[in-house]
Amino acid sequence: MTKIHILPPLLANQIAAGECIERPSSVVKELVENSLDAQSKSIQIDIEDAGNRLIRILDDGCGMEKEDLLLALVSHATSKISTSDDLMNIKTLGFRGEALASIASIAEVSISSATRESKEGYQIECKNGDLKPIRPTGMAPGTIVEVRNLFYTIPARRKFLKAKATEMAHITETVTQLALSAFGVSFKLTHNGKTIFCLTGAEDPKLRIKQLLGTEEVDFIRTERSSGACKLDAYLGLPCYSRSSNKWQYCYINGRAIKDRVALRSLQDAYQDYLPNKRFAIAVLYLTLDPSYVDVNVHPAKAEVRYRESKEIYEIVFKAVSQGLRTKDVLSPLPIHELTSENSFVPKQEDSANCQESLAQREEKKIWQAADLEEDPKMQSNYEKEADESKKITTHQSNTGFAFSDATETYPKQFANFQHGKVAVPQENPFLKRHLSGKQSRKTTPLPEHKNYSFWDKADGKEDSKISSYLQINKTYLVVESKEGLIVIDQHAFHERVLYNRIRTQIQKGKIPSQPLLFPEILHLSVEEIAAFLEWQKDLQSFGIETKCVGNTVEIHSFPHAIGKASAKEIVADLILQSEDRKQLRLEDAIEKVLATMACKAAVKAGESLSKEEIESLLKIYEEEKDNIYFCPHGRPTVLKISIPELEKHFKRT
Amino acid sequence: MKIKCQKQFFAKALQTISGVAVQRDIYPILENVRITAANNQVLIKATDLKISVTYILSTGVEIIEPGELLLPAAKLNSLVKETPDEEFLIEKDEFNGILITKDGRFYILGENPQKFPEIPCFDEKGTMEVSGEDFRKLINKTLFATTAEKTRYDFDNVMVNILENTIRFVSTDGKRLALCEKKYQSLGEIKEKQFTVPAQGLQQINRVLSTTTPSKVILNVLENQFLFRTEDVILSTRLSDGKFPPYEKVMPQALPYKIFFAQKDFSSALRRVCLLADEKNKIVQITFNPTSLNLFCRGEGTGEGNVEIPAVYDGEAFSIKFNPNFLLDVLKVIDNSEINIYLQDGQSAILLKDGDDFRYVVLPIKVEEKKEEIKDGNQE
Repeated sequence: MTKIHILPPLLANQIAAGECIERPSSVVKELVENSLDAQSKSIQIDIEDAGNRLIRILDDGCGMEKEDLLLALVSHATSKISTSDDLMNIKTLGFRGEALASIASIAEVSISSATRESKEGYQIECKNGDLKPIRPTGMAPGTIVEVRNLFYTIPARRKFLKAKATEMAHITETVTQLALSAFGVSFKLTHNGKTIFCLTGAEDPKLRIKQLLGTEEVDFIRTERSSGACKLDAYLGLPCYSRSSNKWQYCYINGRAIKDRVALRSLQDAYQDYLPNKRFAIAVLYLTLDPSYVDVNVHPAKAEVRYRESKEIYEIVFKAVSQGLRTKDVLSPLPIHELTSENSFVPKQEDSANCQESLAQREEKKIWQAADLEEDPKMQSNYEKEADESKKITTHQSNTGFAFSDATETYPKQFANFQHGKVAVPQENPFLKRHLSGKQSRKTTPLPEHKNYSFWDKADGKEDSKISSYLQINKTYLVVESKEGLIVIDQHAFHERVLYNRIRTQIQKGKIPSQPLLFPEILHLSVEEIAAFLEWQKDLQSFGIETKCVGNTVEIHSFPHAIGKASAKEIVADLILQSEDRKQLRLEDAIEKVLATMACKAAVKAGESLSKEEIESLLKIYEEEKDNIYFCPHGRPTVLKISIPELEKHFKRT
Repeated sequence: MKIKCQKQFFAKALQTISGVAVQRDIYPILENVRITAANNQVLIKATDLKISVTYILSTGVEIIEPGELLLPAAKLNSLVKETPDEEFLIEKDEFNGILITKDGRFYILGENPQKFPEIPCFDEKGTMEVSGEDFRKLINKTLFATTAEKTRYDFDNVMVNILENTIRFVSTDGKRLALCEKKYQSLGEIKEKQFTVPAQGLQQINRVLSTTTPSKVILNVLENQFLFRTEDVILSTRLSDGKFPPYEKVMPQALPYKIFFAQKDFSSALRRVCLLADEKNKIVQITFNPTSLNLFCRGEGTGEGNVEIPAVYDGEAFSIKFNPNFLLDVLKVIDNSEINIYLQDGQSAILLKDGDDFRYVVLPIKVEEKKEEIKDGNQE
């Protein structure tokens, strides 16, 4: 008796099903993909009992002829490819011709289909691998696939299913994934008769993304980039809406949803500066590649792909995302309802009449200026001196811990408008020019000629600046007026980020002096790690890390001088770990913590009172710096913006 | 117990040792000092279990009634320091102490002296004698090269090597190494030994010694203690079981060239050129010429400095780069007015000598051009 024999087709199909049909959601995926490949414009998915009792897919696609329908449930029968050359050039979602046959081997399947040309449709049923005779049925063009009693032939698999809620969540996730990619198609998903979502087709994926991922008012940045055979269209959630896992990151390669390590790693790397540790942004990446550049025939469920040039993929994603994040204001918007009068900037001890008046004026002109002079005795003494001389100076000290100065001496005539004004008007402001009569305009305002005013002259010189007025609050926050509205800057976090960027660039650019060690550091690595290490050894050397490899240990013979305080062992281990999935090693990433600490220590602290010059210098950096300045190296935001529309909304002026 | 103390002596003793007594320790008994009056001597002891000090007061105290007390170190020290009287009395009331001055009475709550941990005893057998000055040099010339950084070796230790006629201290932070040795006079049989002592302990000991400036120090090594005795203090430190690297291997042998120059010129030049170096990335470049030595520093955004000092050099001209701190550190502890440096080339370690008993090894910094093109990553 022979020991080797060919498996009966039913068993073979059941084994194949084991690979691609893991749970009800896999069935949904295969069937919806078929519908999409059939050019459907509208797909309805009905689920009963989390897919155990029924999975029904209705579409309005091209449908099947009677003859095709007969073959649909036979394994390796497909309309999508025909020669092996086609395998190199796959444009459809499915191509293996296995899914329906596999499903039919583990469930009761019935398919009804009608083409647009034919007058009637046909139905075919398959139960326990037995094909029932095909029979005509009346229906609209399209296909209906019903899958009942999934896994009834393999109770073992049925036992492995999770709770119904979990299985349903998987189905919802699967449909979401498909719907994000096929944004032109209408989707309806129901469970036990209840609608879960109903999406109409749109031309722009942004609407679909917002519908499916925008649980809050997440705003997305769109960024595009193409290089060579790759094209990327990415929708990036603002960093302030980060999540604790990368579940909300979707990557599509030629419309196929893939949890691709290279692209997602690159996405995370590009977001790194903007997010706290272990937080993930919401993002959708649509990659379009020449089909010959990518091999999707790697994984039965097509969840993985292979690239010919994975470095190119890494780079296009990294560059596009970095660029996208840089161009758009990635600041967290302030929930406007939280800005109550209690934390608004109105000094409480003010005479209410004066206060109202000046507030009204402030509102009208939408400008205000104040400088913090509280902590600078020299300046204050100048003021006192001036006060004696001119008797025109008013400095309000409020109990909220900051001082408003009106700087009247510079603008004596304007000040007449603001009696007890804690509001002074910067002259270069365009609003002002409209409002003030010729006499009050800048040219006719005589500037008192006294050397003490050099201080203010300097401010006048800043005419080109977008920033015209500012204030330091609680010795921590700088409040700045901008064209768009109001900007609040955390002085420490912001300065820290600026210094961090500088140190980073220095390391990226410069030569790296290396300090040899008298006694080499020893690093023990696994065989795999050694392989990775050997690949990167030369790069390490260019970072000033000289190494020798002896068996499974690495001897570190020298280490960058500038980061001498860091542990050589940890950084080399980090770099090796980092090289996984990466196409390029970056020393600055491995020593990020060291750099962040360096920057943190050198940065101005919260609670430090800053002089006018210091504030101006910081604000100048704010205007000029092109790199990411919105998040500190630890991922905390550095800047808060309140736009004029937001202010108007709050004061019910809209 | 009842003793009459002269403030001058008693205050100095307390001052010297109260640094050893710990503050707010999880083992509060260590906040105290143990005062023992017996045999015409008052002993004051303090310990943090790592190092221990016993101060011997034989002058300036008069024992009226022998006995023992355990009193909080910081409180007692402050009280004695603030006392205006030249003389005061300390009495015992059970475990508590009473300090009596002309105008006042301070009742200080104490503890049972028996609770105080036992302090290692000085064993007079097999001791060595080193002059006080030499001993402080041993510590000062090596302590600076230690580091708290954690690597596979414990660089926060000083290695002590007892040889036939010399005692040698070695310290390193992995990038430079200092070695200092001094002759000793053996009082009894001495065995050659090698052990490590925590730098922190040595630092404390150095502090105590510097307030007493003894003319000679008697050393003794017990199983896990290193003890020092001077006329008025007995100190001990626990030995560490830290791993010290094989330092002999990195001592450069047969360096072909030698340069010598005045320490003063070099110190001044180095301090000045360093002012313009990058704060985060300090590097000094030294060029050796037959009759001179050139120091050069450049800082991005700060500028550059260049100083030339006279020197005598017998080798080929070349340049070498250093972390200037490594040089500045050693210049502070050098005794001679002239420095000898032995060297080979721009990449190898240099050896600096100060007299015959101090050697210092520093590794130069290598500057590698960062490659423009980083090679392609592996393809999956």
